[in-house]
Amino acid sequence: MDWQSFWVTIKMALATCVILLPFALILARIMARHEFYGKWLVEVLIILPLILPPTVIGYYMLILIGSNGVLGSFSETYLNVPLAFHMSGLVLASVIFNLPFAIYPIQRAFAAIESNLLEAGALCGLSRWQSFVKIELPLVWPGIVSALVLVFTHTLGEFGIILMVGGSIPGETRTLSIAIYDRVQAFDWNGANTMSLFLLLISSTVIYCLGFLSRLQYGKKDGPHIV
Amino acid sequence: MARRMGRTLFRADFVLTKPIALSASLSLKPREVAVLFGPSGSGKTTALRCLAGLIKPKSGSIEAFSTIWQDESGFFLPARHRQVSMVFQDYALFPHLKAWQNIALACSENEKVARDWLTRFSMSDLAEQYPKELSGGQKQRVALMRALARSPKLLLLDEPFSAVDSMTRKVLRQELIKLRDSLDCAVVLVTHDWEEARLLADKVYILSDGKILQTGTIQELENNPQSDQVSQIIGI
Repeated sequence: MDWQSFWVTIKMALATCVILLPFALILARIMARHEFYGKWLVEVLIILPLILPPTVIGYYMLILIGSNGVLGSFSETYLNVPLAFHMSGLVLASVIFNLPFAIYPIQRAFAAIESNLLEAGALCGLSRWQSFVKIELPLVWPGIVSALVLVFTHTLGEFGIILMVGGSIPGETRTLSIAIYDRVQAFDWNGANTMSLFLLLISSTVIYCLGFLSRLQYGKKDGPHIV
Repeated sequence: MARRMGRTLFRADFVLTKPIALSASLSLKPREVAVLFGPSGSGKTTALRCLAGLIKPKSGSIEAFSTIWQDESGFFLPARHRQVSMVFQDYALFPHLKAWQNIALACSENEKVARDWLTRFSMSDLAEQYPKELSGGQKQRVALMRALARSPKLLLLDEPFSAVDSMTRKVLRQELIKLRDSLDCAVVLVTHDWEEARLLADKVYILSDGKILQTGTIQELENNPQSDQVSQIIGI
C-alpha cells in the first residue's frame, strides 16, 4: 500500500471540497434564482469539464498554469506559489474539473425551493441573510451533501487531468489512481489490487457517512436522500 | 355580536400591469374583515400579494395604520418591514422545521410564545411534529398561528380553506369566526365561496378581470347588485 499517495489523494480531495463548496453555493444560487445576460455562456463553461476529455482539460490547464502561462507566471511571481507539477496546481485543476459535480446538485436543490416559502420567510420578518441561513441552507442541505459526495469520490478517482498537470511525483502529485496505474505498468498486480480495494472502501464509506448525515436534518422518518 | 371597529386606517390604491393587469382600491378599519370575492383568475391573490409587499405595483399608494408602505414617489416598503402576515393557500410551512419552530420564526424565535400559541389552539401535543406529519387542518392552524404570532396589523388569508375536505372546512370556518372576535387586526380574506364570504365578511369587494366591480356589505350586494356580472359572480 502506497500511503504517501493515499495522503496526497486525501489532501487533494479535501482541499477541492473546501475550496469548491462556498464558490459552488454562490454560483448555484445565482444560476437557480436569476436570469441575466450571458447566462447561457456560464452554463456552457460549467458543463464543459463534463464533456471535454480530461486530457484536453489537462493540456489547457498545463498551458495556463505552466511557468510561461498567464496564471502560472502570475502565481510564481506575485504569490511565490508554483502551480504546474505541484499540489496547488493539482487542487486548482481538480476544482475546475469538479465544477459541474459541485454546482448541479446544489443548483437543483435551490431551484426546488418553492418561492412561497421564501415569501413566507419575508412575511415572518426575516432579512435576506436570515432567510438564506434559516430556510434556504437547511433545504439545500441534501444537494450540498450530494455535491460533496460527488466531488470527493470523483477526486479520489481522477486520473487523466492529474497526470497531465501534476505528473507522478511521489509525495507531491502522485495520487492513488496514478500509483495504481504505475503498479499495473510494473506488473505488480497485488499492489494495484490492494490500492484499488482501498479506494473502493473509502468511496463506499464516504457515500454511506454523507448519506447518513443528509438524513439527520428532518429526522430519520422523513429525511431526504442523496440523489 | 357587533365588534368594535375604529375609523378607516388602511387605504390601498394601486395599479399593476404585470403579472396581470390589476387596478384596486381598498379601505379598511381596524378589526374589519374584508373579503376579496371573484372567479379564478380575477386577480384576488395578486391583490393580496400587492398588499403584503410581495409584488411591487406599478404605481399607487398604500397607507397602513399611520405608516406609509408605498407612495407615488416610488417609495416601497418591503414585506419583511410591514406589519402584515399572510396565510398562503398551500400554507407554505417550512418543511424542515417542527410545528413550534415554524411559529417561532415569526416571533423572533421565542419558543415560549410559539408554544403558548399551540396551547391556545389545543395543539401543544403536536409541537414536535414536522409539517409532513400534520393533517391538512392541523397545517392550516399552524399557518394561522404563525401569521398571528407576528402580531400583525393586517392579516391576509389566501383561500385558507381550499386545501381541506368539506368537514374540516366547516370546523375551521367556525374556529375562524370565533377567533375573529378576539383579533386585534384587520383581515383581508380571498375566497370564491360565497357562503364563506357570508359567514365572515364585514365588507366584500367583487373582483373580475383585475377590476373591482362593486363594494359593499353582503346585504347590499345581495339586495342591490349593480350589474348582471355581479349577480352572476355572487350567484343570485
